[in-house]
Amino acid sequence: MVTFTLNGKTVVANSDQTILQVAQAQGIDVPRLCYMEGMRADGNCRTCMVEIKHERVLAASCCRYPKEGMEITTNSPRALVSQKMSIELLLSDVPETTYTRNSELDLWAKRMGVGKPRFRSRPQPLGDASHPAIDVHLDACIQCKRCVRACREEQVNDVIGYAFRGGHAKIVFDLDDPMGESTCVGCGECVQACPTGALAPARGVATITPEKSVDSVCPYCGVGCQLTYHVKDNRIVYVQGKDGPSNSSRLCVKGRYGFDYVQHRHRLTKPLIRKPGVPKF
Amino acid sequence: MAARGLIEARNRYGKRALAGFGSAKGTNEEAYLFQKLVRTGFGSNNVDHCTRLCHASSVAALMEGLNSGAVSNQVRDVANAEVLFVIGANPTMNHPVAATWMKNAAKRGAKLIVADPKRSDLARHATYYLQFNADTDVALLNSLLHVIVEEGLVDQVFVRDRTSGYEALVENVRKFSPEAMAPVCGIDAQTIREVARLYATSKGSMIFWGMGISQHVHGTDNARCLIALALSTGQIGKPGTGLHPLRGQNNVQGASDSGLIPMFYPDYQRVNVPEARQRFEALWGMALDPDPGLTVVEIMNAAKRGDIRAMYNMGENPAMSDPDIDHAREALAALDHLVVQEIFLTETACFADVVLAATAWPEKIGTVTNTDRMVQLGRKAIEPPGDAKEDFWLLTEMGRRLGLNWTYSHPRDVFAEMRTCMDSIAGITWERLERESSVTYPCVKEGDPGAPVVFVDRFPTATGRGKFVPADLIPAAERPDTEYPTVLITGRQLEHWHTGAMTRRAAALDALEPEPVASLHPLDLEEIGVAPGDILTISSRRGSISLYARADDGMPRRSAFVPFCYYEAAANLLTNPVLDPYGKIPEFKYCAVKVTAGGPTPKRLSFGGGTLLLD
Repeated sequence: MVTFTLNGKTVVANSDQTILQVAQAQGIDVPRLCYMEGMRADGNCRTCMVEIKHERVLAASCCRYPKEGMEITTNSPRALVSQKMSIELLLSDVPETTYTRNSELDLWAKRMGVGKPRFRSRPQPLGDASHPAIDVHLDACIQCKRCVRACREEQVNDVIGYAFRGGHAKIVFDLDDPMGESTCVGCGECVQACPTGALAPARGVATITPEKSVDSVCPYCGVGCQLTYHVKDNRIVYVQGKDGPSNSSRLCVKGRYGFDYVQHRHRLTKPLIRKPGVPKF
Repeated sequence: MAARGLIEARNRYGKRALAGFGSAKGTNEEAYLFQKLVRTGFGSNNVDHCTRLCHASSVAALMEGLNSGAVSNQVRDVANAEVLFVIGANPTMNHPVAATWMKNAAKRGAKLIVADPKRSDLARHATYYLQFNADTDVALLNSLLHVIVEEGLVDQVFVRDRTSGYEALVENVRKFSPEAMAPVCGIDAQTIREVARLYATSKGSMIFWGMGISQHVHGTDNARCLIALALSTGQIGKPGTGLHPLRGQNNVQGASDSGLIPMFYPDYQRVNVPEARQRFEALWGMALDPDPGLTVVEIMNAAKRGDIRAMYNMGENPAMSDPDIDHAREALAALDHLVVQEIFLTETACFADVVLAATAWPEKIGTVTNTDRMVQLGRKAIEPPGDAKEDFWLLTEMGRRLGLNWTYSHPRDVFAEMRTCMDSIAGITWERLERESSVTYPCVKEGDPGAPVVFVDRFPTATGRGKFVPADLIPAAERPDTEYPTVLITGRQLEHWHTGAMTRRAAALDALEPEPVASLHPLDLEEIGVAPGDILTISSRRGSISLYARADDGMPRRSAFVPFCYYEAAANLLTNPVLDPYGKIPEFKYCAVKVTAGGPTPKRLSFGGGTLLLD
């Protein structure tokens, strides 16, 4: 246990909790984009910067642990300017059209009062719709690498990588292949991890507002992954992994993208009786 | 109409002329109702389901040795294990999320041993990958046991206090030295010794297995060897150890627990044990058949002979899933009356006299039990199409028409009854499932947390001891010869589920794997003059299919792998319907075939073919 001050308030916390986690537990909002609960913190987006007294530079709160007696401010003018500037720079990279209702970048921009960015956009890459279940829109990519960690560290499929240098750096599948031609197994963990819709379920379904969300279990294999059905007009629109004991929100291609058999036109809708005399074989 | 034909057959030919196949895709409540319907409404124990085709031999061995058919430790216990031994399973394809935990463990530093004739993606993460010869499981496993005994790696205290029959095992494995078995199983003696040491001496070793172990005529023997490995080294009964048969269907564990098995009432209470029968006679208020019923393949044989005259089939697809399906289809066609309860007009439904339009999983509420013994609640998300009815409703209506005074109004009423006769789930309440979504059994008293690790102090046998059962070498029923020189291995692929009824009608999955494929070693393809993507024909003594060739250098030489989900090139036209004598499971993993270049293009009929996204 360590005792330190957070925004002037004395706090006692476990020493294995990061500053960001302690702040969250205290109800203090610190923006974050490359951080995702349950994943290794990477500290690359620089939107969670906080000020620590007597330290020359700001610290990324997602991968910094509090020490005894530390004085940490998440909302000092210097910290706020840095947080907002990072968000504005990332905003300038992405298009105004959105690929998901749940863009975390838009959410934090709104919460932090960051408007239209003042900076010029980067040259935007083309979309990739080569995969039947997943659309790739790297124009919306902020290179937080949550997809890389989802693919390599969680699901350990080792398909997504981060290639090239400097301004050319980007997310790639295998050796920069189209996603549909790569060794991707379609688990969609990267889609679930993506904060901006740069990786999104195909055919724009992430922009549909579901009427209801129902928690259930995957109907395929014996692992018993828990999931959530998002439903509109009596149709399942998309499926997300739920934090169940056997899956911790992970799913595979069948569980995440294999749900539309229920609305296939072959469904039996009334009982059938064999006509007299019709042979069986 | 559906019930009338069943009643007529019962009255004319007797109770044992009826049979029912329940479903491992339905809920626990449906499974319980179905077996109760057969046992009380039909009046015999002729009730089974697809567990017979997947882990029946594993369960037979586990019941014999440990008197418990479920896993000892949960998948995520790999976090506490030092060694994972995965044999005859391809979890990256068939249990993908379970595989992620295994891969996480391997990255953390746990040693992964993968043993399989067909190299899977998981082998990439393995410290030891053993590509042993198909059909030589017992040779490999007995040689591991030989090393454990010979090199003094046995946990003597565990063997003394917790097991019986050890001397017979020692005697049996004496002749299985790695040096003697290396030419049989194709793994060199030094590697066998290293793997045995690694497994036996780690702080925690877990065994996972799949159909590669179970679907053989010696499937029960294979599982007996795995149990012996765990018992001899004391690698069971504590975190990070144990035996885990990876259950296939979402609810094959629950359907088995609920009694969809011809020799067991719910909770594995044997029908031929008078106390068990009396318990259910008292609960259900009528006399029950004291003899075990017929199993899946036996029922099909009896139907062909005319001994079984009428059947009720809920959600199973034996016309695709049984071995030698030409035979299975003739058997279905021979029935006087077949009722099929389904969501699609499956290959089996085509033989029905009455088809009852049923609900898909997201259209109903109920519990399912996963491979980890977690009872989990599925909730209704959407309304069923047209006049399709909830399976719960269909079952209770069938029950009433068969003369049973059933008064269930909701699946929770059925679950409440199940708790009274299934001690393992007696402590789980419906309210708790609604609140927590998932509860692990055994959970005997209300409020029990549930036991993720079992067999900690004793095994649930009469003596409390686990029993060693020695196994000898039994070859596959049909070995390759000059006419049929290639070994056929059947199985599944990531994108398609079993017979494909669901996944081939799911647009994205259909687009990812649209056509029937056979995987062969590239050198074998070269030998027969076929390029990947070309058509080849596979024939056995029972049938012939044509499909597209795929090169896979993970395949052993002179063998072919075909997934059984494609109706237009059904792998089970080829398979051999011989059974393991204990588990009554067919030998899906081994038969002799010949592979030739060319053949007719697989037909593209009403679904599949990658076209669904265009709809």
